[in-house]
Amino acid sequence: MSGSPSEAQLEWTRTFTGLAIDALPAGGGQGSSGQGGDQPLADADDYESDSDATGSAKGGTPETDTSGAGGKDAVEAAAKIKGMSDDDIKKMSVSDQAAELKKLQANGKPTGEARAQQLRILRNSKLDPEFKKKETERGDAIAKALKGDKELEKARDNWDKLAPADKVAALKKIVAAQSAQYGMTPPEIETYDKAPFELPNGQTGIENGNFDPDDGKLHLNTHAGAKLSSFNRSIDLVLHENGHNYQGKLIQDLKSGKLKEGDPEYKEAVMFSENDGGSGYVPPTENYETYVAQPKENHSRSMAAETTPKIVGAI
Amino acid sequence: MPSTMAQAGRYAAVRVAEDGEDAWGVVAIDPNGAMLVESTTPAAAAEEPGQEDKLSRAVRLANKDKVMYVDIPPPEGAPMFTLASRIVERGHPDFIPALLDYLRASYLLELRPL
Repeated sequence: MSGSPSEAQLEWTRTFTGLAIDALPAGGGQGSSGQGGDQPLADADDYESDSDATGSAKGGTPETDTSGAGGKDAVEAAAKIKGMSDDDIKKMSVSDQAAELKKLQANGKPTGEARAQQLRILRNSKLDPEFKKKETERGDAIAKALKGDKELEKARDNWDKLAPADKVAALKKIVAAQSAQYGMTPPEIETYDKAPFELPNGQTGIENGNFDPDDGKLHLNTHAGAKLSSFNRSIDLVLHENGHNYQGKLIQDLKSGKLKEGDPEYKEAVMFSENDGGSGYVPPTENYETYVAQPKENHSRSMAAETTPKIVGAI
Repeated sequence: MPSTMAQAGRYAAVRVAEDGEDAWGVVAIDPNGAMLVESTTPAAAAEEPGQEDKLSRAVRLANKDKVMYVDIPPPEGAPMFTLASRIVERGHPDFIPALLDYLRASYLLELRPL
């Protein structure tokens, strides 16, 4: 992500540094002003991922951490990406980006220069256009399926008076509609009550929920301060988290051979596979800019942002 | 004016979608972030006769919210894929900017200062 920092980046900086700033230095990525981009790109046609177990990305999973280079392929890939500008990386197809990520992770979790270049690819990747088009169509279909739903309408109007179980019951309808479009069984929703926490600047933060790839469930915080207190915010939350669930399904389908080349979701599934596991997924503590922009988070965020107003407008 | 600078005042409510813009009406926001619908347009009319217009509904629901949210990184130790937020209470200088972001995210509704 070159250019001006996003509001989220600024918010993070304000929150965790206490600095009252309106801008961050642009760029910051290595090679952001480099040249290149005319090198031959790797062919991903024969892709077969050997990265981590499907959809079970766990932060901190032990990886084979051979060296910063990670072998000849990784050394070459790191050098190639280092010589490219961020704009050049953005111009690469998702398949070509995934192929470079695969080389960088060939011997386990990259370190040093290889890790730096892996992060540059991840934060400069955009959703594959065919996959994005499918998501837009699915968002339309979800809204159509829920249009005029009287139970949801009633829940929306009485949201502030509903018990957590009744809120979850309403959200299950939305998750079911989304899951139907994804062709998967709706995940269970479990609730927990976790109090807000104090941020370094004295303000208050709260965890809203997550998808757990280990148990396959959505977990929602029912604390009064969490997003579950807002109907519209809850819609965005469950769409986002169930999007992570679907990413795991795509990776499974890719590795089992069910998802084949030529499918409109194939290229993005390959990318999700390379953005998976302890070596592929970037935790926020390592690099927030990359965490926000990496394919899995970018997909969940942008899909939920596009679909939420469609649902809100339909109910 | 970027939403981060938004303050109490009168705003034109405009729905901004890919297929164009629709003026929905005018709202006033007080310093506490409470909104009042001053006027609506036919573009904000409900799809079913007799129902509340879209702008009034959006305002009514937002006025019920005690807090707004600004997304932040999950705290260290939070489970993978956790979404976390900073809680912004009514009266805080960030409340009205967060309210405008919420309206845009939920309804594609932009509030433009008058």
